[in-house]
Amino acid sequence: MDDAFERLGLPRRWSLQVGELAARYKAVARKVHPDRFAAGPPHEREAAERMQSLVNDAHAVLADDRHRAEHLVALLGGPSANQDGRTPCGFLIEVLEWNESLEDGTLEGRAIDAIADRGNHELATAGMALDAPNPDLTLVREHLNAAAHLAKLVERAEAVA
Amino acid sequence: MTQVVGVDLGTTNSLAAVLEDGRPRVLEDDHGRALIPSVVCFLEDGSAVVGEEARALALDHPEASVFSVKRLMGRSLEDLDEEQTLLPYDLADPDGGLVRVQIGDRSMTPQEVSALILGRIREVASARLGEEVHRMVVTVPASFDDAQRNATRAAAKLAGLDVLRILNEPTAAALAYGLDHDEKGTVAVYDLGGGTFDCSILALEDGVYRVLSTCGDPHLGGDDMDAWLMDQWRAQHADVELDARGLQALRFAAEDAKRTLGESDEVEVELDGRSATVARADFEAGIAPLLERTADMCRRAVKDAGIEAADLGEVVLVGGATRTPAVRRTVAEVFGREPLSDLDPDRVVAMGAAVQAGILSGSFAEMVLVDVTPLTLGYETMGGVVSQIISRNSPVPCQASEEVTTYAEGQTGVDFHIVQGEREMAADCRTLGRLHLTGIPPMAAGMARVKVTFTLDSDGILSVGAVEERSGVEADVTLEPKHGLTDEQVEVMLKSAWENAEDDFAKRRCAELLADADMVLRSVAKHGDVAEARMEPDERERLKEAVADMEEAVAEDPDDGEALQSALDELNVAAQPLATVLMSDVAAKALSDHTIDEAKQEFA
Repeated sequence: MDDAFERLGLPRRWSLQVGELAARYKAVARKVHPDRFAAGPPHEREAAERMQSLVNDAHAVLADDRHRAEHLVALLGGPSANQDGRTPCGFLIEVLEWNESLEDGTLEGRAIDAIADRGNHELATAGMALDAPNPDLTLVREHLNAAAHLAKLVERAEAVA
Repeated sequence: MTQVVGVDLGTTNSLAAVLEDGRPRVLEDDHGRALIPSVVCFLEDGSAVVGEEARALALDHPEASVFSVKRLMGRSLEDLDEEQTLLPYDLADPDGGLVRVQIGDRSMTPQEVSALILGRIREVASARLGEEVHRMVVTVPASFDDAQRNATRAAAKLAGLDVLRILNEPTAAALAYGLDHDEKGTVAVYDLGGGTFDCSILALEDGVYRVLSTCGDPHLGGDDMDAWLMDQWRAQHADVELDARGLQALRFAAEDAKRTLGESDEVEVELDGRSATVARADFEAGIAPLLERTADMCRRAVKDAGIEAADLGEVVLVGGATRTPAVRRTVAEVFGREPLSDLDPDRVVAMGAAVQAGILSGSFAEMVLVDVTPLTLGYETMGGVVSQIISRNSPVPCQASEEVTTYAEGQTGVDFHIVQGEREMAADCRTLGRLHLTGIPPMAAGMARVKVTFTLDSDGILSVGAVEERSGVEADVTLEPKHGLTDEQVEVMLKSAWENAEDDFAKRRCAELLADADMVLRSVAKHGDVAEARMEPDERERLKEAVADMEEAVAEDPDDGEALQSALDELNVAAQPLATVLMSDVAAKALSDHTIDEAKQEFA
C-alpha cells in the first residue's frame, strides 16, 4: 500500500516532533508543486499535479493523530477495525454512563470535554504502543477502537448541543 | 518569459497588477485610473465600450449597458430568479441551459461580455508594460463552483489570454498581505465584493501559505446593499413605474447614498425630483440580516479551520463594501479584533494575483501556496443519496477514487451523476455533469469493478474518470457539462469572435504551438539517457515515433495549426511516462537533499 511517511520522507513513527511534518511537507511541495512547472510543457504540469495530489493526501493522513495511527497499523499489517472490533477490558462499562446521559439528553458541556480528553488519552496510549519496539498490534487496535468510539460520542453530543 | 499579469475580474470593478522588483504594482490607464468599472455598453453601430466610458453612457443606453455580469457566469436563468430584478438589461435562455445577455436582437453569453472587460484590461496592461500581454493569473471568489471557474477560463480564452492559474480572491489578498507583513501565524480574510462573499482562514508559516478553510456565498455582496436602498425609494414612491433608464439612475443614486451613509447619519436618495430619506440606523438595520449571514459563514470557517477566533493573528478586509462602517463592526465583533486597515480593499486582490504570477514565473522560488476546494464533490447513488468523494476544504490538487459495481445481470453501462454541494440528497446539490461508462462486458450482477476517480486540479477544476477494472476493457467515458461550455463550444465562439482577425489568430496559435513543441522536444532530447534506461520498450518506441511525427509536422508546414496540434497532443501523451520518471526523481532528490542541518533549520 502507499506509504504516507515515505512520500514525505518521514520515519514510520506515530509521535511527531514539533514542526517536523510542516517542514517535510514544505520541502517536498517546494520541489513538486504545479506552481514550479507553470512555464513547463503540459506533461510536466500534469505530472506535478499528480505528485502534489499525493503529497497533499499524505499530509492529510499524517496531520491527524487518529488517521496517522490507523495508517501505521495498516502499514505494519495489523488488523482493521472491521477485522477486530474489540475495545480494552472494562471500556464499554466505563462509557455506559456517558452513552445513557447522551440518550437522555442530559450530557453537559463539561462531560463532552471529559469524553474528548479520554479519547485523546486512548489515542496517545495506542500511539505509544505503536512506537514501542515490536508493537502489539492487537493492543493498539483495542485502544484505537476505543478512541474511535469516543470520537463518535463527541460528534453526536455536539450535534445535539 | 514575457510578463504574467495578475487580474482581478470583479463584479463592480476590474484591474490588473504586475510584479516589479519583487513588489506588486497596480497598472493604470492613460488617465491614471487603475479601477476599470466592469461595465460594457453596446452601441447601435455594434461596437462595445468598456469601463468608465461605458458607465458614463449607461444612463442614455440603459438596456444596452451590462453591469455585474460576473453574477451570471456559469449560471442558468433558473439560478438567477432573484438577480433579475436588479438588472436593467434583459436575460434569456433560448435553449434552457446557460443564461444569455440580450441586447436588442444581439444575444451573448456572460463569458463574451467578460471577455470584453478582460480585453480592455489587456489593452491597458499592454500599453503600460510596452509589450503584448497574453498570460495572466485571474482571480475568482473562493466559493465559485466548477461551472463558474470554467466560464471564467472560457472568457479569458475569448479575450486571447492564457490563464496560468485561477486563484481564489481571499487567498490572493492573503498573499499580498503576507508579502507586506512577512509574518507567521493565522490570518482571516473577510472578502465582501460587489456580488460575492468569502471568508478564508490561512496559516502563514515561513513561505508556506496554506488555506485551512473557506466559506462563502457567491450571491451575496455590496450590490445587495444597493438593492436595499433602491427598495426604500421604490416603497416610498410605489406609484412610479420605473423604466430601464429610471432603474439605472436609481441604481447610481443608491450607490452614492451608500457611500454617503459611511459618513453621515442621513441621506436623500433622489431620482427625477422625488426623494426618499434614509437614516443610517435604518440602513444598518436593513442590511443587518446580510451581515449576520456573513458572520455565520466566518464562524463556520473558523470552526472548519480547527481554531478559535482568539488564535487569529490578523483580519484582512477585501472589497469596496468593507468600507461601510457597519461591515467593519460586524467583522470586529465576529473575530474579536479590529481588522487591518493599511491595505486598499479594492486593490489587494489584484496585487495578490501579481504575487502569484511572480511565483509562477520563478520570482519567489521559496513560496508554496496550497488552497482548498470550497464545496464537497460526489455522485448520486441509489435512492438519490450523494456519495461524497472529495470533501470541502480538501487541499488542491487532489485525487480520490471509489469502487462501485453493477446491480443488474448483464449490465453493460453505469451512469454517474456528478454533483457539488454539502447536502445529502443529490437533488439538493448542484449538478456538474453526467458521466456515462459504457461497454462493460456482460457479467453477473455485482461482479463488475468500476473505479470512479475524481481529480481536482490546482485551479479547482474537476475532471472525472471511470474504468471497469475486471474486464480490463477500455470503456468510453464522456463528461457532458450541464453548465459551462464544452471545449468545442469555446472553440466555435472563439472563431466567431476572431472572425475579422482570423489570420492573426491562426498565426498566433501556430506560433504558440511551435513554441510548445520546441519546449517538449528539447525536454525529451535532454533526458534521452533517462528514457533509454528507465522507460518500458513500447513506451520508448511510442515516444520516438511521436518525436519523429512532431519534427515532421514542424518541417512540413509550420502554418498548419491542425497538424501541429494533433502531433503535439500525441507527443504530450507519449512523453507522460518519461515525465513521471523525471518527477519521481525530483521528489527523490527533494528527500535526499534533506540533510541533518537543513532539518535542524527547518524545525527551528
